[in-house]
Amino acid sequence: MSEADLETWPEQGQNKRVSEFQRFLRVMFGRWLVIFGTFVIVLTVFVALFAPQLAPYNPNKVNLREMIEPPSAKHLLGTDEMGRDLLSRVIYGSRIAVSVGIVVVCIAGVIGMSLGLIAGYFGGWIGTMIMRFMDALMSLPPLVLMLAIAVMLGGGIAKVYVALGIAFMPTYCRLMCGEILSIKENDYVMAANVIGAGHIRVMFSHLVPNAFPPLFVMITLDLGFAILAEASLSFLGIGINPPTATWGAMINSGQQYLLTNPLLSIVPGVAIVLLVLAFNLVGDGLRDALDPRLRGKI
Amino acid sequence: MLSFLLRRTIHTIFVVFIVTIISFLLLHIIPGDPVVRILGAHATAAQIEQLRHELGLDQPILWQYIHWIWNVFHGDFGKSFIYHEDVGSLMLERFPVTLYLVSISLILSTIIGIIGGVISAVKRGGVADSLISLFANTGIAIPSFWLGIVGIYIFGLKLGWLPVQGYTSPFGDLWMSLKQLIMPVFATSVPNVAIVARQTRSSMLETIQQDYVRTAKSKGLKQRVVLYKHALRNALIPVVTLVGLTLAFLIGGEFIIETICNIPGVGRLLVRAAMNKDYLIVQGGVLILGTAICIINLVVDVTYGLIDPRIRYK
Amino acid sequence: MAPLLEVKDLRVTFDTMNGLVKAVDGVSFTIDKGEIVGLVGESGCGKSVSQMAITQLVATPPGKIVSGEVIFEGRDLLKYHPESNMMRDVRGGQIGMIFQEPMTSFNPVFTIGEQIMESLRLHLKLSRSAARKRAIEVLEEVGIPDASVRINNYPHQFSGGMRQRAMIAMALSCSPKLVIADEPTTALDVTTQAQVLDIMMKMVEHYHNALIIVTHNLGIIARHAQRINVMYAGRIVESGPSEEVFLNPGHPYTIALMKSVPRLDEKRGRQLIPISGIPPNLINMPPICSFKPRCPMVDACQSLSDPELRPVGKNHSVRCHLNISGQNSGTIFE
Repeated sequence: MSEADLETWPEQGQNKRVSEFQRFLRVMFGRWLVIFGTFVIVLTVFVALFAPQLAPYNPNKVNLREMIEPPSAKHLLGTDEMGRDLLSRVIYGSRIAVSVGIVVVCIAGVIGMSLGLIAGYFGGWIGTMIMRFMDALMSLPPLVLMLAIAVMLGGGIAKVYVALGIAFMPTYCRLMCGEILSIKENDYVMAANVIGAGHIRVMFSHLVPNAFPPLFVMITLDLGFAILAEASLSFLGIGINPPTATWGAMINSGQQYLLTNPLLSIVPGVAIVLLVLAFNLVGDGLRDALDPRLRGKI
Repeated sequence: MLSFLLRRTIHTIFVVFIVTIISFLLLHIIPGDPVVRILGAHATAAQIEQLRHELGLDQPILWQYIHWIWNVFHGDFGKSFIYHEDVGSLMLERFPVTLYLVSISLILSTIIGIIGGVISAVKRGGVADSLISLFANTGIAIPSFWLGIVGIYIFGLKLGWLPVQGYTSPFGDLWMSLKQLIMPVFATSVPNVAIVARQTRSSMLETIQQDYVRTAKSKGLKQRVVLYKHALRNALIPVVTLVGLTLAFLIGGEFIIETICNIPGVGRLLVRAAMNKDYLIVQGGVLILGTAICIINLVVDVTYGLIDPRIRYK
Repeated sequence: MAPLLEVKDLRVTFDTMNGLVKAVDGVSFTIDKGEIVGLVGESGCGKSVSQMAITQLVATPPGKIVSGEVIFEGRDLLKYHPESNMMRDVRGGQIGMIFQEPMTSFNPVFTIGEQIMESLRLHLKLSRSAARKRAIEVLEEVGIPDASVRINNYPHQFSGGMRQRAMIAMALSCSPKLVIADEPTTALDVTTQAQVLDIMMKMVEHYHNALIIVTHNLGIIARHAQRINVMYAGRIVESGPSEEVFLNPGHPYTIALMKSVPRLDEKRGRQLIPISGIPPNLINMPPICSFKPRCPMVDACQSLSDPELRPVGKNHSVRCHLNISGQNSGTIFE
């Protein structure tokens, strides 16, 4: 062994370690299921954005001469009971799905996390009240809660957003509160308090950034579950009004024509399953990549 | 244990109290005048006035709450505007059907989910693990109502093996009752099996890495004993809490299936009431279900204490 | 006479995200019946892993016992499947293990008694009541007051020191021929450390077990062990009778270790010298002396190659190019 050989020997010590970001990417996209999930999400968002360009027909155009037709060259997936093109409706349905996911998670996330932050940081009776309120919300079956709120508020997509937002809020609040409680005990937070940093400063420069990784996973998963929940509501005919194309409502109206064209119910269902599954897979991938210790926590 | 029990009970009472407030407030988030919304635009002023008085809406809000909760304690949830019947008795009539279906789904799906999760964790990385994990991911993503419809299409309409819909009491015609049960129970159970299997798998994997599992191995115990005696019992602790949470989720799926399969349970009642804006039934449903789930969660917590001595002896 | 246990050229690797870690890289040592051997080294030098490998308790994957022989009473244990009856009989019955973390090494959902009785019933084929009697007996021997009551307690009702005593009781309950204690007192506070160690030594003496004590505390070894093995970067770098090694350490690392701990039997005012640098990354080690980057005597060393373990005295061998031993090396840096 000569000196020269040793100089070309791979570097030892810390600098050789794989960087955090590389590790993240490697774990995240190391499995084809996560790649598949990412692909489905990107594809759906693309379809939602360019629905007018992609859809062969106007999704709401009634054509009474072509009711419940089986798939053909003209209508690739056939038509529904009002002669509307199924493919076009499924394409337009992605717009509702994507928007519901995003808006609901925003509402639930912002309100839930703020309340969780307050409950965790200040504690006391305010914290107790907030957390018990969340316990109460969580003990109501989500579907029943959403149903009740949506019905009481009256129809329309905005009401659906609110109803779903409230139903999805408690998990964020709990998770945030729990994270804050554990982070608060860290020395650097105490130090910040000691040197007289204000509440707002401590919360937003020390607590929130550190509480975020598990919440990030939660958000990804909930994007999918919000879509699932909206589908349940629109399946029951509550919330978004016809003739707007939503996947849930399409499954519902299709069930009467199962023998003539089962695709009417099956295709929108497959779209829901694929998209929700995609968010699940990506959420799982994120969790493993961000912090393996989170396994099983969420 | 006693103090643990006491604390949990007080906690539950407090949460139930908040559930009553939420249910009470539901009627007050109706935009505009709920009485006009209930009676419709054609109601006379006298009718409106009478209903307003009946509901106590002409009183201050705190008094309204006390009045309402007093009635609720006496089993009076108000009258349905569609069925013209007592909300309480409407619920009570349909409750056994829903309870029957939900408990079968819950028990079945929990057992299957735990078995699946354990197999998946023990055979980590194998074919069984891949299949179970894929199922667990997909199962959560499948809307149970869609599964119900696809099931009806395949097994009811195409193959003709199962009845398309309906409900028969198991005390009347057991065989028919079971046949009608298969589809709804299957549809509501699939997502739940997935959730339980997922949780069991990850909790089992975490437990297997614990020091005490290594200690058990170092004593020369059979792998079977190490896994199913030492690891599983610990791994089940988080699964037990999950069962309380999934119950609420399961009930949601169950309610939609009731409307699809035309089963005369609380779910169908509630969904129809919602579609027809029968507000008092919805309100009563929220209150009763919320309270029931709180109580079940209390029971789950006590069970939790039985499994985990660290809680029992605090 | 053949030794009780002979480990030959043991190699264990771990497959990690950063590469293949050679945690144990050709370790050989022996232990006789009733002998007490100390194994010292920094955290992460492979000392625990090498001991886990003896009873095949290394988690696979990511770990893997690549090669070597573990000859226990004439049989090579590595030839047996980890779950074979033979291996399970050895674990707990022939070789007892005491682990570092008393807080987490007992199963929280079973009573201490149940966990001790489990071993007794398995290896000594005792009935439930006989096992219970014996369990109370060993608990008393390790100094647990009211053992007949405490046997029904759950682990969380025991303090750390008590748990470690119970652990010792459990490991010794079936009178194994060899006990492996993996940093048995590290997790305890200093006052309990001495007591627990004392109990352990008394028990080992009483039952005539051989004992391998893994530690980074040289004091423990100086007091109790007859022989000492020093591990660095997955290999044994010095091995010999403890008196000899303490008087005439032959490896700069051993000397550095001794300089870094306080001793009561010497003049006041001596400075404690920390070992500079960090332990090497065990991935892709270059074929040079693994201690070279941290060696205080590196200037005196001309060789670039990887040193072999070579004898420097009776039963005393050292993995170093330099001849330090024999010149009263204990004083060398002063």
